[in-house]
Amino acid sequence: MLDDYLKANLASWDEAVGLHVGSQMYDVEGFKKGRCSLSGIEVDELGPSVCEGTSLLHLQCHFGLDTLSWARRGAVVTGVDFSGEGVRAARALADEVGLSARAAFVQSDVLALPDVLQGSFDVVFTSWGALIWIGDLERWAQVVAHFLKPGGTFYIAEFHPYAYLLADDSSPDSLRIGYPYFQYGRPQRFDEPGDYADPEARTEHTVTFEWNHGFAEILDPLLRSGLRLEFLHEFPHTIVGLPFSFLEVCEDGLQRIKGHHDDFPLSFSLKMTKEG
Amino acid sequence: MTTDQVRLPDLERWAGIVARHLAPGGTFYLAEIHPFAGGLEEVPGERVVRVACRLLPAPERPEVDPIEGSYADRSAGTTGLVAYGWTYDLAEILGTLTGAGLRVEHLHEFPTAPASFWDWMVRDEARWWWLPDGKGGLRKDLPLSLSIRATKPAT
Repeated sequence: MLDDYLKANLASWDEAVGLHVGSQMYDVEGFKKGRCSLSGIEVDELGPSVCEGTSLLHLQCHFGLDTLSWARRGAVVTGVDFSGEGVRAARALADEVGLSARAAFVQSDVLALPDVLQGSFDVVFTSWGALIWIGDLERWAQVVAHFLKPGGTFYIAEFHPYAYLLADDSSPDSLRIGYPYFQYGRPQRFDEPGDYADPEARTEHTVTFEWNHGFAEILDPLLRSGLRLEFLHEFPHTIVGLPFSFLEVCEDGLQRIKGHHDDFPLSFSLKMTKEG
Repeated sequence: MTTDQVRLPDLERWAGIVARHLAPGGTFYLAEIHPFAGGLEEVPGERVVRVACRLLPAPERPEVDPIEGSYADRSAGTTGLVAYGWTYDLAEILGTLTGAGLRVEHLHEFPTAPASFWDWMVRDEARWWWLPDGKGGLRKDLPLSLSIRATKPAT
């Protein structure tokens, strides 16, 4: 069953790569001119751990924008994505901006990565809309720990589990619950023709399977795999990417709930260290 | 809601006290109402919950609740009492514990609560309270309580 979900999700992501490379949201032209694609959250919180020569593994790297942004900050990066289209686009982009000497890209499902990639890293990084595509966080946490050097850092910045359970037709003053916090391993099936970076697009591969994971479901497997919690942070804002009409994009480019800019957590970050 | 409110105005100091009184290698255990449940409210006229927007802490602005009855006895006669409560999110609870030098060992979340928040909640045989799902069953999809275990390093 996991394989069927993976197949549908892969078809959707293979198709999305072409749309996203040319989209306004991803602004690849701006990136080529030097724009950093990372949000202030991960730059502030993980930035100090990334210096010249830091080895960084980026899980679910899509077509490599954030991976290459870390490379520009001095890291020697390896980006991993299950989409062959994504990995091809990432390699082409790395060539074009002159970073291919410090950026490698590997096509693999995250959960199968130990079969195809050797080595261990100072930093394992993943972000923004990654976890909903992982059905087995127990295995995922083992993979994260597997690729960390002793003393190495795991960091994630993500949409908040509370944000994922809000109903699409909520209003800012009545936030209804539309999706489960606990899914007991069963994914939600979506069938939508649009794309988050280009809602007008009519895509061919419209069916996806997504998992909302609660905090315990995310944190516990990481603790069990030998990582120590450094911090969990929650933020009342997020990068643009959640589709709700009760959100607005503010001057700083971040999304908040209309009329409730400080009240409700829309994103979180987690920093952990491997013992050693 | 009045049953869930954390009655501590300074969580950092609280965590420091926890850490100070633990022996090296000792265990701290917390079972508590989930911050998410603390931010739920009834949709007026329906036996359904929605999210009240205030889920993030505002330490300078405690909630003020007149006390009417008790979570142990909703019809108890109480007169003129007021409770102050502070909202904490998970980040703050975990952060103050790690900040006090404790090592977080587990976080668990449960779809049940130890007390009822509204009189239409349902109690099971093990005395846990559930939200009804409106179809004769129980809602298992929302976090109502949590537990955290943390240890003080041995050295």
